[in-house]
Amino acid sequence: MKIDESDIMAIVNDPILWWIAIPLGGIILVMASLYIRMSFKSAASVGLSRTQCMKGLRSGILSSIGPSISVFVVVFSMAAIIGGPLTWMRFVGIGAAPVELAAINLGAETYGAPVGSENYNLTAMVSGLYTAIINSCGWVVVGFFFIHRMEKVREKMGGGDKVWLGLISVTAMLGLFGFLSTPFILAMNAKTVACLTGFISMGALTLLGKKIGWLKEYALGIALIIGMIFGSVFS
Amino acid sequence: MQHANDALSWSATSIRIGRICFFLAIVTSFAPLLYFYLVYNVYPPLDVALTSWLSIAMVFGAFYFVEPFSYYPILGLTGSYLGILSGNISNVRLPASAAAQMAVGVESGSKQAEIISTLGIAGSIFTNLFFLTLAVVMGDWILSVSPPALIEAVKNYILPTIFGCLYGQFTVMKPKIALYALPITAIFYVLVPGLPAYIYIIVAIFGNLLLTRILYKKNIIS
Repeated sequence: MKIDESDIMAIVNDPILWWIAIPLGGIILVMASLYIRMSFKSAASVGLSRTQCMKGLRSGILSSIGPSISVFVVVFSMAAIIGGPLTWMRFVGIGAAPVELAAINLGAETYGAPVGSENYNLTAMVSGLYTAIINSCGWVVVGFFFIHRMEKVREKMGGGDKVWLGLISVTAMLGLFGFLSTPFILAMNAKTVACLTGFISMGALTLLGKKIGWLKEYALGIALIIGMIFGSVFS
Repeated sequence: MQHANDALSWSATSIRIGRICFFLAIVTSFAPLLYFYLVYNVYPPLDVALTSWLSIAMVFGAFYFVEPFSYYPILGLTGSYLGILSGNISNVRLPASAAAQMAVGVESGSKQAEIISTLGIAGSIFTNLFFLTLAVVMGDWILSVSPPALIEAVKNYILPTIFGCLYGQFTVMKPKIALYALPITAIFYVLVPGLPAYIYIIVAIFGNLLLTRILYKKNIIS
């Protein structure tokens, strides 16, 4: 059956494309699985039990449910431009949603046929896709050449001082999330309320978690729901 | 001696797995372009390819370097490989890592923390994949049956909330650092507005690390 080239949506939703999209997802799954195996194997040597490892894994799985659901809307709007399988492929790895959309628009625009315009065609779509792909490879290429060299930098920064090593992680985490919260804090709107409510409820739940053990695993989920409710109420 | 060997094989294995997967990911990323070329004889014209490459690198090029280097102190070795390849570091991977570390109660920066953080991040990858597949396959149906208020709440408020939450969690751990970490960034943001985002990331991470280092040396922070 010959597909009409002007019917972009039929082309990009061709089931064959799933076979092209799946390998990248497969690589990421294999990588995660290999690292899980490695973690379980090394656990005993640093005094971690199997139960503790399972707890860590479960927390990772549960705590990311909320943020994973938040991509639904973007996934849906991108599928309308480049189809289901390619959307899946662009989101399974590397960048974040706004980056992918920006790249896809930029590529099509450079070709002279922006997304949604009358002359938007298969070549414009492919140009956008190409732009998104080379962009995301930027991070992977840098990672390929530099991540394994950073361990030495960290050892030098840490200098074998355990306390300082712990402070590095906490300070970097606070610095980063301080930076990410700043625009919302300064906005003085419902998002400010959501951000502050998240801050207060998570702080309180973390303190409570020191007394009530089971709470720790659900703290982030509970705090997220509280923050979203307060944000919605104040909007 | 046993511990030293374990640490060595942890790093070596982690690097080997990470680099092989990175290489394969780059190669497979380009598969759709090859498909469109072979089946439809469609490919980006050379001038478009070069212009796009240049323009996208001008926008994001600095991030290729700034993010892996800035996130390394937080993510560690395996976390960096997992985080960069799976993406969504600030909104998914770091919260998952922090949640796992809190649930088990390990000390930040320790060897135990590295293992638990790896498990947390790896776990989040499975969740992400599940919901992404669900969204692509059943997205329109899910959107049509969800109350609009719920969709709006998730879309608008999950990011500010999650960033606030993580700040709250680490404030409990080191309240003194929390006293200046966000204010420094916010003040810089207000005083020198309009800079590219990566400059603010560098200030937020390395500026704060420098200050903590000074205060630690003066025994103000321990």
